[in-house]
Amino acid sequence: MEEEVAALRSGRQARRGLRLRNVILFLAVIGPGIITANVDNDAGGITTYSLAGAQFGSTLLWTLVPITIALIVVQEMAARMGAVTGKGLADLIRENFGVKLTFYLMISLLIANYGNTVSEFAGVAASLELFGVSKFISVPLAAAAIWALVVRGTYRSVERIFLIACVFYFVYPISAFLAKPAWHEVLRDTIVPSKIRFDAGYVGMLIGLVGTTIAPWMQFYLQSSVVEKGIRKDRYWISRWDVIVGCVVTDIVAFFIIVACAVTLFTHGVAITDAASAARSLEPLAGRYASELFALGLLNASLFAAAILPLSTVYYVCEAFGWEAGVDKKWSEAKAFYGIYTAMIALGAAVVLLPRFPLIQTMFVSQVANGIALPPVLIFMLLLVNKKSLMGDQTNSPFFNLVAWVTTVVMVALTLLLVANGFGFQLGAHVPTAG
Amino acid sequence: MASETSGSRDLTPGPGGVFLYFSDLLDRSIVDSDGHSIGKLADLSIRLGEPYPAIQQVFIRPTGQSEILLIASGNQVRSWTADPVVLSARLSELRPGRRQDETQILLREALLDKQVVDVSGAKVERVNDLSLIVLPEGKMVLAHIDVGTRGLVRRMGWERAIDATVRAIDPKARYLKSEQLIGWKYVVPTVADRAGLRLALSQKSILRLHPADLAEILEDLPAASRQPLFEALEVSTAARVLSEVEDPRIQEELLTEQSDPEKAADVLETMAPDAAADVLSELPSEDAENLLARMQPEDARTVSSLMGHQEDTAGSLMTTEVITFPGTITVAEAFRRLREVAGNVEFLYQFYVVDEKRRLAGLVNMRRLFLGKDTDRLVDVMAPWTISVRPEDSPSEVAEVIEKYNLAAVPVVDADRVLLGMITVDDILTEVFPLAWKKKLQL
Repeated sequence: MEEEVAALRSGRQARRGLRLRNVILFLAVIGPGIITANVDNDAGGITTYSLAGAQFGSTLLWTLVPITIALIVVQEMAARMGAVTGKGLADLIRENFGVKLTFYLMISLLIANYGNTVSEFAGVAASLELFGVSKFISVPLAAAAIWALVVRGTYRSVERIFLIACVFYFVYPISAFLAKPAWHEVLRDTIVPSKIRFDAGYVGMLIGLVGTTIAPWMQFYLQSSVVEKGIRKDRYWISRWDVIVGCVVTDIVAFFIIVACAVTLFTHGVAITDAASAARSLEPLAGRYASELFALGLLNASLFAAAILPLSTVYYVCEAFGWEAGVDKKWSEAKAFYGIYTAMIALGAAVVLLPRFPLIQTMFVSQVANGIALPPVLIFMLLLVNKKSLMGDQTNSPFFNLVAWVTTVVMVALTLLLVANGFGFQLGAHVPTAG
Repeated sequence: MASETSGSRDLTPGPGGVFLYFSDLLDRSIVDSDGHSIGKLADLSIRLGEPYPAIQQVFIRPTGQSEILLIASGNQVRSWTADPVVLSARLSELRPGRRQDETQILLREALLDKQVVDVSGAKVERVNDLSLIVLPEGKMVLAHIDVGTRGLVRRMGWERAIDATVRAIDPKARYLKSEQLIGWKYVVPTVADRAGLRLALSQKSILRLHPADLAEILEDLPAASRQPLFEALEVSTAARVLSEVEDPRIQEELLTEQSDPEKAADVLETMAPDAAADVLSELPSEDAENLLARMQPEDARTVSSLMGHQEDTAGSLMTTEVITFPGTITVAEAFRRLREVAGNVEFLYQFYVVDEKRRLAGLVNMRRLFLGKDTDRLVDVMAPWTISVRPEDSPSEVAEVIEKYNLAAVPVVDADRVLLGMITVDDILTEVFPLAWKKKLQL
């Protein structure tokens, strides 16, 4: 009996130790902010940063500083709203702005996120083509696997694998260092804006960069995650750090992708026309295995985002309209939920299978669409976060309002500029500038 | 929307009244008894706690203003159905102001587009529209909330277009008749602030729901509305609800954010020890220790010993709440002792006979007990029992045993056949059923 008690006690201690470790892991590693940031570097993200480096060298690096500040400000607002109100963003928009505005916003987000889903499947196709797998095999298989993973409820167990595989992003800093860029130039271009242009190519790339980094869906996703994780006002400071770390990491990765591509592709005048050319940015590190390494990273990023993005979209659309949602519901109970989810995955994958479908270009254009859809979401967020009746004493500080409004105005101005240029940006074409 | 001449729409013949949708009334012009236009209808208020609450006040946004500045009382309205709405008072008789009385809630501010609990369907719904009835004597009452697609379409202003399209395709389409209206008496608003919910809970109808339904509602509610609902429950209901909540994070939140930690401890004491141990082992150890410290020492000991078992083993599934009797007592004595414990024990349909070292000897179920004579000793009526599981067995092994021998519960014994606890069939069912992924996208 005594022995048993001792055994019980040690078992209990072992479990407590394990739990403590879980808690630490949970707080430090996979907080909502960090997951959101990692999903942010999806197929569209990697492609857009690669194109930015390949087409414009290091001249666009300066944008990363203001983008990071704006990203932190916007994400922090979403996390704070989640912690203070205990409600998702779609929920708040519906409750405060009524059906009509909510409907049009949801429709535009549904379209933008459908575009993103297409780009994730394009990422799957592009990465596996580097291994010689036809997209007619890889894409349907990936779509079916993701659909089943989520609907059968096994996604959570795979999420960690996706997250761990994100260490792939470390290859970009290494590759960038090995390629020995002119660091003084890189640093100068990061701090001092130079060679600013107003043509469609440049403006389109700017919108793409902001759109891929501060994607509209992320704000909904982050806010819901904060609510679901049960983070309240008093524990909110942890979340704030989670958000800041996540944002900074995202943009450091972006920085090194751009630098790596600037050194390896831009200086040699190589245009990114397909995934194989984008993979050359990893040659300083991986040599002839560059394309395999790139393919694995892109595949992981694409699958990770393809699992999260359509699901979070359908959750907040259902949240806004009051439809039953959740994979624990039966099909007959949650028709809208399963219908929209299945349609997003099936149609997203089907489009990629069209003959001669431009994979790289799609991944980029979907990020431009994100950028165009961003201002309305930011405006709603700003109106909500400054509402005393919702946020009490947790409304925005003047600095936050300034940064967020400037971001909104700049995005609107850039979009107008792009429209004025007739959307004539050249996709994937190398624009010879300083090179 | 204010362009419709009558504005009223017959749904089903009401009790001599006329149906109106709140969305049709909103922003409708209002004229006073002299026929002067004074502004637009911005909101209406009702009292909570009545099955058909009459409209108490009309909130008016004067022309050219963006805020509510005038309030008319409900009985100052001469005609609700007219467009513009006609008051029976002059502009000068109206009360300036914008805040409502504390005992009232505003329909637009606190109900429209918000989530409510539908007690009749035990679900959380979103309010797309409200239906009002103008009674023959001219009073208007709130009758239903509209949670259906038609309500959404009407709010978008597309009702006519969509109706016409659907009718053109299929004149008998279900959509044309499918109003999803829920009677106001079945609705518990969760909105506005916590005070709003507390007020609504005075209706009590929600508190009569089955604990499993209540648990599901709690999981579907926005986080801010969960705690007030949970705290309104009595300890015994709260205990059953808490064990039915599937999401461990919500369980944790409900327990640790209880405003009264003593009540949280009471809830845990009332739960079956295995369920309490499950919940506590999900909490951060500091919170768990705090709660254990507030519990009765005896209950706390039982629960914490159960927490020591490895997860996903028979030991972590079992309850120690097992009735055991020595074989030497009589049937009459057993009946007497059963009556004593009946109030506190969940599983009362069978008990085990053990020897002086608590080793498992036999099983007595109700049939054997009833068929025995009062003077029979338990050793004579019991079924000698050997079927059992060990604490380290896996849930699927336990399930196999229960299935193979068609048991309602299986005893858990150690190597010396000392009875440690038992696992009931409902505890094993929840464990081995393929657990669907939880409601929300969880991180």
